[in-house]
Amino acid sequence: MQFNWFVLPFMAGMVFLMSVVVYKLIRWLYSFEGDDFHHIMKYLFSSRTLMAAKEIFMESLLHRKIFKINFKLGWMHMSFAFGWLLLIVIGKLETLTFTGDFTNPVWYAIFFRFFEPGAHSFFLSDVYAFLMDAILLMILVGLAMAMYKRFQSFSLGLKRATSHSLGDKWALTFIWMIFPLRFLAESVTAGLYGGGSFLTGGTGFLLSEIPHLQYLFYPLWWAYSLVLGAFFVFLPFSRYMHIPAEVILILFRNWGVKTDRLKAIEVEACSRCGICIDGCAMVPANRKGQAVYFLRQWREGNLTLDTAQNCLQCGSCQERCPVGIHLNDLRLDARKGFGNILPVKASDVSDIEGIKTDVIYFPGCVGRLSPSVNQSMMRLASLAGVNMNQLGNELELCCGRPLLLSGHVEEANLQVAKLEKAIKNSGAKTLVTSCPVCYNMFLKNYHLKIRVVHHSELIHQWITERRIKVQASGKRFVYHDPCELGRANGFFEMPREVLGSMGLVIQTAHEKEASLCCGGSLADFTLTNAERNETAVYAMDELTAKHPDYVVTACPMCKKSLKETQKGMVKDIAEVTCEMAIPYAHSEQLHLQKFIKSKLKSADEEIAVM
Amino acid sequence: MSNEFKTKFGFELMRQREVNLSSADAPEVIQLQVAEPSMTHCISCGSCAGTCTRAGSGVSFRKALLLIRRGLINEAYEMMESCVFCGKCRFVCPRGVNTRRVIYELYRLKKINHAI
Repeated sequence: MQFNWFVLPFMAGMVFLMSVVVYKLIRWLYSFEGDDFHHIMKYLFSSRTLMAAKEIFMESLLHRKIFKINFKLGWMHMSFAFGWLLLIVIGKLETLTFTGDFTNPVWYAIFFRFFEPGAHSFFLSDVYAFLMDAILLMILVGLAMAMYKRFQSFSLGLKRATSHSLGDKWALTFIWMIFPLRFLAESVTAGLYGGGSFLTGGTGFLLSEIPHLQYLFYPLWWAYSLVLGAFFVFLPFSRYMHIPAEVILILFRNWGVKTDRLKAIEVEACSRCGICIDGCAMVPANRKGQAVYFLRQWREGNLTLDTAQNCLQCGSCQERCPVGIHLNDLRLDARKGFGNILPVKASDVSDIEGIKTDVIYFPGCVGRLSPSVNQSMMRLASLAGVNMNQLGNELELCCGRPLLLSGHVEEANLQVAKLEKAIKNSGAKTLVTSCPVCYNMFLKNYHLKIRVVHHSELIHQWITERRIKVQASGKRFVYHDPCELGRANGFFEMPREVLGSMGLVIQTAHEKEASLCCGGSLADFTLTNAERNETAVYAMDELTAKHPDYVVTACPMCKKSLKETQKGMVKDIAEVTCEMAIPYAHSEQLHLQKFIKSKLKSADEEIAVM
Repeated sequence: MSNEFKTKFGFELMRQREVNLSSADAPEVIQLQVAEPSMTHCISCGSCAGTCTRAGSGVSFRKALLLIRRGLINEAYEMMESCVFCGKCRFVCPRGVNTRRVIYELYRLKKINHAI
């Protein structure tokens, strides 16, 4: 058996890491419940495991999602993660070919060049040597990019990089030292004993000019082993815990474990890459508490109420996260964790009678503050010949979302029950809302057996059914995606199609999933007016970069917040449609015909009388 | 300011005689004002109460703020108990009072300091 004392630090680190990961895994498994184990056993030997393996390969090794954000950034992460795995796998294959025995010790493959220095010829030995050198070069290039990024983050497409804690900086230092040390140790070995391919062989040849090179040989291998061991010890307590946690997360996710029981794993699966920071709506207002820092505080157990509250719930971080962590849910969970501070009184449900109608229109709280949108909707409904009535003008109705966002589930449920009863009493078949916040709530927290639509969807339907006719104009529109409609519900194309039938829709830099937050979000209780305004001004500047005639949105909150910065330019999609609608289409036309006929009749009668 | 204000020039500076009204405020009121300074901008126009979703349940932000200014925090708190945080009052406020935050801080105060 091949052994040298210097492998001990590496082995100690390795054993420590393995035991911590196993301990954490057992703790996570312990927090699961009966149906989770049922799902795991059901899907363990099914195609889901293969799908998980594919996802691990695509996301954890190749980093497909990071490639989508920026090619150079993706390349850096891929060369590190995939390169390291290849180094381990091909190194193991090399030793297997050399010894013909797969059960050689773990350290034997890692320190192969130490135990077997010099050039050996065995089956494919040259190919192995070349591959090992090529992979090492790939990792070193990735490392150089990572180091450059640490000081010049914009070079790899990130405006801001995470500011790391001290523990992370230590772990970062060790991971930076691993591969240069390996490169040096292998080069010195090649310089002394020969062997090595184009990289280590060449450098070794150069180093062999140094007198007494043999003194460096043993210390360098010791240093390599020490650094590896130290990194493994630091790994479970630093951001590099994401390496095992992400793999475990992907597996459990594919095996159908419920999302809210994966929270503990999700918190540890954050790699603190900082990709979420650039998209964060809090950045223009210069506020702290971005997703990466929020998760770090959570993991370190010093989460403050302010950090939990500093979030507009726009969902941008969730969309950008390469690991796919459910950040919005985690943030709401943290708020719940701080306990109920709102003692909202139960509202009386018994007195609700409501109105009777086919289509019920619920503008929402803030929606009622923009009467022009409501009037436009009513007019469009009368043009389309639909019996639509507004709900809740006199009743104290709220969808319950603001309470839910502040972490008050029970109080929110009281509101839900009340509104649900009012809707059921109306006997409507369709519920329309002009507020994406309410829409999101109706879809996810209500048990309504009727059709729930957002008003832009209904307008789209009326236009395609030719119930209302719109005229094409030369107007140029920019559509602002409300976060609760776009990112939360994948509702991107319909409003654009509606606008496309009336004019030209211009594309902007921040569209669809990358849409900016208007600052009007109800999710943040501590945001000051100045910070809110800053967020709105930034969003408006980006939206009007190409000088559109109108900035159109489909949310009363977005409309109000954006309007505060530039009046007259921001409109709701219903207002624009109403403006462009051709009057007397359909029902109004019928009314007019009836009216003319009756007039003619009476005129005839008058003539007959005469 | 200290009463003893003798200088080396041999004369005395006049003692500050201004009555500091805000020192009469309850510490909770000061705490609220520090947490959300826009609270002091209120002119009691009543736009907030006029648009309130829960007006029927007796919620009036205007009245609550007046109560807070008089130090009647408990009464203000009881008045705002039915608030649903819809944020309409913040949108309509002509003076830019961050109403939701005032209410939020009021609740927080109540939670931290159960005695009030």
